[in-house]
Amino acid sequence: MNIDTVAVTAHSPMTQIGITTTIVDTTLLRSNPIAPLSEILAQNTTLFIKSYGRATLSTASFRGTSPSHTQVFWNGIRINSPLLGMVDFSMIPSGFVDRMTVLHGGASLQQSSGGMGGTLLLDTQPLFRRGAEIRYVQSIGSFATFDELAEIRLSGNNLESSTRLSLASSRNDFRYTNLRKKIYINDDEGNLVDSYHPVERNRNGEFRDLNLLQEFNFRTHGGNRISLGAWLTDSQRGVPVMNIDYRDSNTSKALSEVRSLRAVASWERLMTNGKCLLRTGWNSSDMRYAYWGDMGDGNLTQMIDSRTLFNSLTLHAEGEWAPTEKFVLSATLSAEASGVEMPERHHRIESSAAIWARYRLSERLGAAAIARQELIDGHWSPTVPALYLDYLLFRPWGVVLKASAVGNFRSPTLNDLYYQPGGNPNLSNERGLTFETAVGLSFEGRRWSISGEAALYDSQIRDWILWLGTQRGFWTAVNIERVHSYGAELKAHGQVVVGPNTKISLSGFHTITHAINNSAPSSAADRSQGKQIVYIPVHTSALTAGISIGNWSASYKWNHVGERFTTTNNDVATLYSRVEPYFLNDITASYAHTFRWGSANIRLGVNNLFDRYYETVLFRPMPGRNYSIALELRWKKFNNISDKRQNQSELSR
Amino acid sequence: MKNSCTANFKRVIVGVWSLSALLFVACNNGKTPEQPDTISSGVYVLCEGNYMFGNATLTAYDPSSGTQVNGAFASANGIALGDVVQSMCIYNKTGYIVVNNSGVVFAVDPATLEVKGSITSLVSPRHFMVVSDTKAYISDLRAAAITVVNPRTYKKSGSIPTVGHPSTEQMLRVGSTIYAACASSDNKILIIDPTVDAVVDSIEVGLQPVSMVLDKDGKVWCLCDGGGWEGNPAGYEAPRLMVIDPDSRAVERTFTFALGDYVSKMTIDAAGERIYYLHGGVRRMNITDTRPPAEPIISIEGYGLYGVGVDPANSDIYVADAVDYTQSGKVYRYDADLNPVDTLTVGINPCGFCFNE
Repeated sequence: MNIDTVAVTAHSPMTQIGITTTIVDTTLLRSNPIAPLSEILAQNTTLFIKSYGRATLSTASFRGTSPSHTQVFWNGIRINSPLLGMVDFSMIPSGFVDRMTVLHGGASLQQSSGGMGGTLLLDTQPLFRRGAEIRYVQSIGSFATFDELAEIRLSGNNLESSTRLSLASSRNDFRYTNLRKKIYINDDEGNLVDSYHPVERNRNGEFRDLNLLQEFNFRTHGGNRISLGAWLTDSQRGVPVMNIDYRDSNTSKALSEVRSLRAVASWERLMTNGKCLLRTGWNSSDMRYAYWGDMGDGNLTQMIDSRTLFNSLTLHAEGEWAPTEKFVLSATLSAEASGVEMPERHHRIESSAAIWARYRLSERLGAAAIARQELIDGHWSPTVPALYLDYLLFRPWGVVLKASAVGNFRSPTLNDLYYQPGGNPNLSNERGLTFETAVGLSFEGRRWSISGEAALYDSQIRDWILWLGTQRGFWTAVNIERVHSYGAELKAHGQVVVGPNTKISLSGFHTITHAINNSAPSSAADRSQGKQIVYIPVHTSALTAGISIGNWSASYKWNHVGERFTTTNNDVATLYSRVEPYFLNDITASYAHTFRWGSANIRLGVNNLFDRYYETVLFRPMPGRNYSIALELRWKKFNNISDKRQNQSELSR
Repeated sequence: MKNSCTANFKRVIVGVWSLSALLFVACNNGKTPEQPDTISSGVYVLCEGNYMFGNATLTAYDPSSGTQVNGAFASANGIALGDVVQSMCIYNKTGYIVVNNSGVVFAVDPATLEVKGSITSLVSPRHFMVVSDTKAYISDLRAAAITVVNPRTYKKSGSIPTVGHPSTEQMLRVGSTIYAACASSDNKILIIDPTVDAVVDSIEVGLQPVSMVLDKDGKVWCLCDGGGWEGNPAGYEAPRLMVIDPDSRAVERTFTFALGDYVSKMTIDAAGERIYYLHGGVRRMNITDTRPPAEPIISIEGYGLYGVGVDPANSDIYVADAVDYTQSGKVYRYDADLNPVDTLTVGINPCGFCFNE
């Protein structure tokens, strides 16, 4: 893609004082709108995505914390399940997100409490380009994988309607040689005559995901903006079997169904010295798990049919006042009422108030402070404070030094409290304290730009909630004394224009994550103290190299995930106590052409280029080399010359 | 009565998988688990692993030398044991290992642990009971049927429907019949006539009969855990230990524990005189006692005790400690006089023992 190089010089926004953020480039999101968000996150952010494969549960671990320690907001409403506390990123098509912001660590307190690892902000954005725009993307990939995305925008002077429809389906039955098991052949007398590793297909991995998003945006010249949006998800997925399963498809089958609805309505008024905002949101989900087995009669009979529902209503008010260029004061007030059926019913009401002051003391020095207070089911939480500082060290290179000290806490999920058996209504809130420092730089020449950031963090989290097994055969939620999470995040991006239509870019990151259980041993036999939390890799890295020449572009992605322990004592002598590290290589090539009526873009992709065998979770097979081809068509008709010019720039992307 | 263990093995096999084998597999774009030395020995420790983790293993332990090999099945066969190893028994020079959530029973040579055959496509197998040289039963957690197989050819030959009882667990040979405990959300013991492979009667016991043993007087002892947790839709009552007379098929004696107690993993010594079970430690009770013991004979405060076994050869007691259920487990070996003898570090969630005499 070709983008005119634009030199930008500005002070960092007041909202960025002292915090570490990653803004995922809009062009990146729009370049592969059919990919699930989990793939975009894994390749372009320092979040570690734990996934069981395509269209399986994909959760985020941020700075060594658990999935429920990453708060996720969609257009300002939290979409974490009040039941499990986590978000399944495999259910979010990246084409439904126009802007993604990652708030690392302590930066999350700007948005809410509970983001011990960080917070993800997923937003859609109106364009208000008068006219009509239609986009359609069709992708066909290996294993009978089909992805479609259709988008229609209709804009008047001050009103815009945006409709997006995404459909993904696949047999997902990739073939592999199963080295984890053998087939044994015996003669009629029972003598073993042969054994071999079977060539199998991934079984029960088929899926069909439908997503529909409808939005209306309205603005006035007086600075009022009204937004209405509703996002419907309908997902049907098989539950893939492990590669040590000796049952065949005639003996067992499992199905997972999710229907969810998220809706948000907001009114915002922008004024000369501030803004105010009112928002209400709805987040509901109906989840079903069903299992069929052969009862010995050769027929599949349903044995399990489990249903869980949750609903969550959010009210949010926000005000911001900036009497001078150097000082901004914000206040927020939120309430969230959640209910679950699991199958018994439980409710919770959480209220939150925060006040946030940002002050630029000098041209180089900025400071911010937050105080947040919550009331959960009538119980006050401790006031959570945060202090942020940043200092411009060297202006020519844009070198900024940041530091922060942030408190945080997270209340148990409704599942932690009430799931039967094992829920623990006596759980304490988790409490955290994070110290962080970072240095970033950004400089550019006429034809090149370089930016980067290195951050160090140190978090102590007390009363971490963990599910542990019991003698009685079920697991129960307990508070463990202390987890020490510390590490580093390094990221860099460079870009150079080598010709009138040629550009080369390189970006990457590396994370070092230590998440250490520092709780006292439960018994003399317990060797988990001082060990890494399970399934948290110490090292992860990603590198993306891209080149664009005229209408052609190509990219090469390299991804590395280090070893992960599966036992709390990290004992490598124990069989299956670790998941092997792996490297993955993906390449894409695309060609875009602009027509009078719009544009077309064709994209070829090869994933797992070197056909590596790897597991992200023990005993879950992953596909070898696989291919995809995608065609994107855009049609636009504008009523305004300036909108057309803006569109030309975007069409050429 | 357990299946009789007839195999004698004194031979210790030590094998080392060559590094080149691992490299060959890697060049074939795949990897196999690490393959340590193998030995076959007198005690097999079943390490259940975690459900849906696939990390079940088997530890082989030689009590005479104190040698052990973890991951012995994987070492002998080059493949994973599977997801949730549930039970193991040895009959007529063949070991039968039931791997519950992999839907398979492996038949192995008890001397080498090498697989001789397998019975696959089972729904949720739990226990294997050899009825005769040509017939065996496999109980199941979900299938509402007991699978009938030939233990020599490893072929399925039929099934015994357990109508009204979705699950069956431990089985026990009592005279000419087979008792099958319906332990999941149920309160019955089914009586099966193996000559016709059919359920012919049932005995009502306490909620969730999880263990059964036969004493030297031919009485059946049945441990019922009472539901295990408050709020169990199947019910919640005090655990009970019940003694059944097989002739009358009636409960003769009942010992009731306190509501909220957790009592599990009952076993009996080779003489059929003393039963052992987990209840805040390891407790031992003579079959003639009029009440359960007030205190455990082995008390390990705060430990995650998950299994107990008694060596029929010498009455040594083996206690399995799962610690926190997500790390390497421990096995503590005591002699018959309760003196500590050895401590083993084993796989994840050691849950049971199989003794090869």
